[in-house]
Amino acid sequence: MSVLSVKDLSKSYGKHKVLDNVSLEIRPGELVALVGPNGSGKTTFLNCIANVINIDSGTVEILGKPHTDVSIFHKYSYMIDNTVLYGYLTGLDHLKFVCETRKLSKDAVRKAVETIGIKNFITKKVKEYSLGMKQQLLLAMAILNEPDFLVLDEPFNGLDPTTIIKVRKLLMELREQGTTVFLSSHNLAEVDQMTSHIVFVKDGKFIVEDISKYQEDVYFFKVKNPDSTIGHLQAMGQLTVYRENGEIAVKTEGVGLNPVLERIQQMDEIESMRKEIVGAEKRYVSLYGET
Amino acid sequence: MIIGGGKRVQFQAGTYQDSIFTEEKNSGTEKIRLTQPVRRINILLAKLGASLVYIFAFLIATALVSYLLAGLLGGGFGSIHYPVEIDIGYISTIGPVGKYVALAGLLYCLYLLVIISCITLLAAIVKETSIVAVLGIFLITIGSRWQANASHFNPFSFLNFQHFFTSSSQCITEIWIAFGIALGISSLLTLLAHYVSTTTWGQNLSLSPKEKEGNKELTKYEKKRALPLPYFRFEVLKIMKRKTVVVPFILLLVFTMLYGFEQYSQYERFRDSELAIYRTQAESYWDSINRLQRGVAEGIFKPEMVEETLADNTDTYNMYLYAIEAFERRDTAKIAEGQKSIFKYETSNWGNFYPPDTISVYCATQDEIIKRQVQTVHTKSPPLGGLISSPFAMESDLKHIKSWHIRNSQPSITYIFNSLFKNGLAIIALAIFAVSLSVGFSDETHDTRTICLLNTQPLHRKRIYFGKLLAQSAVFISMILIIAAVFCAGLGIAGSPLEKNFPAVQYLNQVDGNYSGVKLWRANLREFEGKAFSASSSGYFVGFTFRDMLVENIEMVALLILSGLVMVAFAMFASQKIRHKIGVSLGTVLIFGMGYLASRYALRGAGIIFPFIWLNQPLVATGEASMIFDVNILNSLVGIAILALWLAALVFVGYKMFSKTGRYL
Repeated sequence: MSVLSVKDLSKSYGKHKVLDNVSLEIRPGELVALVGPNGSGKTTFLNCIANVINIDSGTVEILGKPHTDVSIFHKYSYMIDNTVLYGYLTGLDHLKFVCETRKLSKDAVRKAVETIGIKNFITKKVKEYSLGMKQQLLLAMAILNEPDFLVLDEPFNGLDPTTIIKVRKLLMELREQGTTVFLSSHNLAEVDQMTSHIVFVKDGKFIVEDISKYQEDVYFFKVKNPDSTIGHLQAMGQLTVYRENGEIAVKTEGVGLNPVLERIQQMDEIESMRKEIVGAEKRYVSLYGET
Repeated sequence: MIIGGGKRVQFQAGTYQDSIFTEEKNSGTEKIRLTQPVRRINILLAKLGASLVYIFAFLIATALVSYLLAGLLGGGFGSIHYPVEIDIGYISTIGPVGKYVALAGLLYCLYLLVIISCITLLAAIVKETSIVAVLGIFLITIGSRWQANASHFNPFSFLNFQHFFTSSSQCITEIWIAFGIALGISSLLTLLAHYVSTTTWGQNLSLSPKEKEGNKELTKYEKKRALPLPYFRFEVLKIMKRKTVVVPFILLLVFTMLYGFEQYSQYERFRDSELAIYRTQAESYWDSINRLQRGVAEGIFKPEMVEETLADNTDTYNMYLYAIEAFERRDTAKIAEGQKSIFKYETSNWGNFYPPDTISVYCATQDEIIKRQVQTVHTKSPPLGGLISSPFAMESDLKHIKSWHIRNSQPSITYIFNSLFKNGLAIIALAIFAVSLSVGFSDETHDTRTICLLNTQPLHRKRIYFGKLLAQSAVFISMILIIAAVFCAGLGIAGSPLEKNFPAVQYLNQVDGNYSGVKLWRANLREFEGKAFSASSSGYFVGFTFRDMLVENIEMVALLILSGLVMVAFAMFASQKIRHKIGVSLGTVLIFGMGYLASRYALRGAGIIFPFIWLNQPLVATGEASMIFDVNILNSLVGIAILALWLAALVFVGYKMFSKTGRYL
């Protein structure tokens, strides 16, 4: 049984068709990302499946039930953007509300608060929160019911690096515990590290791809004589070698790092070396262009 | 027309002025201004100037429209040169009406300048749009109570234009003085606002309570017993945590309490004042009797010449003496009897000023007071006190005594509570609650999308709709009942007696053959003054009866609560189309206000089917409405039934619409 099953979903705002007959299946335990430029329809899609806005056509099932059945929210959480928070209420007021409407044990509030680490500001009014604090509160509200299916809209938005790492770890843990996670994000580096599948939204259509095929390592070397070194590396064959901002970029293409290192050390002196993973970003650029 | 229209601008000016400051603070756009190379004081002055330009533009537009209407439909465009007479107890002509309007306009602008400066200071301190709006309304309301004391040092009295127009030459001097003082006060307030906005304490000043410790609060929550109706409780919590609801409520509570204590404490003063008047009258008649008797003794008058006058004066003197002795012995029955005799005697000398219908009702009320053994009503200016609450007193006569601020006083809780309605305070409270509470769903959609949070919980739409409606209704009813209870308890503690059986006049439309009481002329009603009375209207005579004032009070409270609930239900309905919070709440107040005027002055009897005429609870509960619209069934119980039907209809239509539209409104 799919956790999320979307068939032929369409949604328009006036004459502008945001989602055009899109379909999507997410299986239990998957961590899937929804990626696309601003205004491509990511949030609209998430709002449609959560039944926050009406769809024009198509069907949506969550955890085997139609998305119009509000009982699905007992085991499904949707972390919407921070405009859904009441500025004049405290974080704790929000958590209590979610806890009580979902008929959860009161311990759930403490557990979520401690998991996300927001104890020091839950008694403040939300209007005094920073963007990152709001995101953390929303996340705490979303995991309160230990959902089987967790949907997050831009969970890394506004978070500091420490919290990004914390959230990433949490999502990976949830996935290991069996929670299916579906998130939208602009943070392609995070997407690369966490997800197996990416749903690209382009012109109202979905392009679902296994991200692993785009993930490859690129090594950047700074050497004393780059011109001659490039020639020697190209002579090895199989490698893709090019110059970028004064550095030599090498895609090992299955050759592995060690032969490349040995070759450079024979011919030149390595001043510095770094590694970059080029995955979702590469595919993103190929789909949407650089601008 | 121009002046009348202008007076209503003050509330709009207040609302505009406070939002011009606080909205930017709330939305954060203020930071954009503050990071530009402009001095803070210049920003403040620019905003003040913008407000004044806005108000002047509104006033000029009102003046032009009024002038055009008067020119096209009225007496022609030359009417601006018509002479005007200002009546402040004596007649004084100051010249053409155009000059009067210009001078009044100038005074009005000075008044507004001071109001705007006050609101600027409030906005600098409080920084919350709706709280400043409510405080502004309070300021204007309280200020209007000082209008009677015309003084250059009291800018609120500038609205009472006529006091400044004693003569044409003096008028100019008076206005120059007023101009200087208003400008001085305004500058002082603006500088103070500037000072507050630049100081650290002013910027940090917050009405929020101190923050609590997270762990402690979590433990407290865990220990608490689980309560039912989580969504309803959440909605109540949301309402109660909004300062825009709580602050007006507290202010209203304090204001009504102060009003109650003032009413109670003035009773003895009014009683003493009335007694002093009677003593003066008695002394004057005693002097007159002595003079006449001396004249007879000294042979100046022949006894038969003064016999009748002497007898009359002796009777009148004895009448006052009777009342004085009753006052001194605090014999309520005799006081009432004495007041009645004096009232009848005094009003007989005033010709048409006191319609016979007014006298009949007053005398019957005095008899009823005696019968019911309750305390008497006193006024500083007898016998005018008997006139002010009568629907038969002519507007042209009331116009004079209105400016004298004559009030009646009676010390019981029942009477003072009743006066909350009859002095229009209940309707002000309703308007304030409507502005702060009747927001429907707009508080979930105005600058926010909190409705989505509700839509992503396991909550059925029915629970969302009715939970919100019930929470708003419950808070409104609770607040009204709390104010009423605290008001009555406070007066009770202060020593005010209950006297629930104080006689409340209830007018009866179309009395039948079995009616044995006094018949009143319907045509004498103030409502028909200056109008041709329709002969086709059935029943020329109306009557009246008495009932316990407590019953009248209960009816008025029920009408007030139901009217408020209809407004809440209307806002729930309207907010599904209008997302702007202020738009919904002010729109609701505006529609009900306009609806009331239409029902009262255009639809009249036909207005009974709408939920508006019931906003004037005293008009309905006293039977005045049934009398002036000639509709027998127009009474509180019918009002309660009609309001209940409207409530049910609005809830039904609102819910139908809510269940049809998208989950995100």
